Amino acid sequence: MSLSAASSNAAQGLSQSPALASGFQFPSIHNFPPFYTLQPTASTWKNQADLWGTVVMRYFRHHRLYQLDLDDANTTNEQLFHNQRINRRLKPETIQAIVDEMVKKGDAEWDPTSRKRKAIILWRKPEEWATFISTWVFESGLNNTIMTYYEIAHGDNAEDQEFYNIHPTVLQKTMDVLVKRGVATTFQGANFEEMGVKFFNAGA
Amino acid sequence: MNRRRPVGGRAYAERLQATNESYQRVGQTISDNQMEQLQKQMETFRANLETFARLHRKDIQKDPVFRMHFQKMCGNIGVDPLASSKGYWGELLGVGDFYYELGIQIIDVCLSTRALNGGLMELSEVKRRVERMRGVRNPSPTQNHGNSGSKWANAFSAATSSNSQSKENTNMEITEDDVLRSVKTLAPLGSGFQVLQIGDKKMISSVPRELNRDQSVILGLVQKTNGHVNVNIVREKLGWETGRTTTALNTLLEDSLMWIDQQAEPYEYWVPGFFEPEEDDIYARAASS
Repeated sequence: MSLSAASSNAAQGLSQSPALASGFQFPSIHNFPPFYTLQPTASTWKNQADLWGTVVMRYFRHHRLYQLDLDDANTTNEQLFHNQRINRRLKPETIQAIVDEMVKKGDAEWDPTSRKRKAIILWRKPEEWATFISTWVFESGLNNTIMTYYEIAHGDNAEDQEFYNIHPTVLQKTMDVLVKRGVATTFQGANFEEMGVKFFNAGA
Repeated sequence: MNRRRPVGGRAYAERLQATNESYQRVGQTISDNQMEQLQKQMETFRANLETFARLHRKDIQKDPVFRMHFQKMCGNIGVDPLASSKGYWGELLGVGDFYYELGIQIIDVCLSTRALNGGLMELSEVKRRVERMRGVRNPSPTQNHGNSGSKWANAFSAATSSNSQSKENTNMEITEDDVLRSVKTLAPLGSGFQVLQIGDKKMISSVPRELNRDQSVILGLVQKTNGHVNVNIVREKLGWETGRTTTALNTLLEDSLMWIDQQAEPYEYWVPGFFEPEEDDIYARAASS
């Protein structure tokens, strides 16, 4: 995810579909100029928004990203929404409209305090994360002990897990699911990372 | 002399009756003979065709050229073995199943790309995608319109086909003729599947629609202008004034057959009908040229 990703594309030329340095490959519609204009026909726009949603989800999943921030001039926004090869760029309003559609499908959530400038992209649902995390806990024999959120999200034991570095918001949603399932109980901590969780015995 | 003798005397009537009857008898005999002969011929023919079909069943199923010839031969004598998989021929040959399966694949291809192309796709592109679905590794570009084949399709096949066209794939190969036949068999479903002639290309439409003349002309033009046009190009190529062009373009937008690029000056109108979702990079190619 370095800035050199874009330049290495250019060096590759047009002969092949370029993969980013990260290994991510955009589908070819990413090079379709009208893809960057909000389509005035409702049915076309719906399909366009779906396609953009798919591209965003794939990109975020591949790079294990969680937060979309419209005000951050970061690599993500530059790679996703700005195509230098065809000189086309999504307007912020169009990105918002796309995220709105993703929210409707449960694929994203606006940060309520951000006035539609920040969103969490849910490329896995909290229910899926809940299953992953509880499976990992039981397989590692960590049930019946109290762990902190930090240990789950950043602990040495979790380093090879897909949920490593999971976003706090997503982690909290996941914990809510686990509590609701009756699999675990949570404990207040001094701050988010010190929040605790205990998984019950499987048979209990 | 006997002119005034009343017509319809008894003797006359009887003679007339006898004559008629004998004519009828003769006629009956003749037509019986003919029928018998015809039936014999039909039986022989049917037996021969049956033997032929049995012997060549595999070829009919697997060799697209052979299949086409067989179809033509049957068509000439008014037999349509492919009409359904239920009838005599279908059971004998299994060819109905062939078109049935192909039909499902065509529906799949058309529906899965409808979001993008508004349900209008070039015949050669449908064929290529169906072949890929059937496991043909190097789908060949269109056979019927080899030269006029779309830039997109050609660019694609140039990019993907290795030098050698593998022969192992022939068993799943299909021709454009197969696709057209299959689309015709889909018509009774009432789902709007039809073949449209646009410009010099055949397109498969999977949405019930009627294109007006101006729309067809624009779509035909776009085939020659790398998939996109603007009002200037239409004025230059067709001599239309802006109002007429805009109307046609807008109706094409409304029908989801075109997408607009408002970051171009003047606005560009694109037909994504040739779009290839995953494997190629055709749009970058077109945009950079």
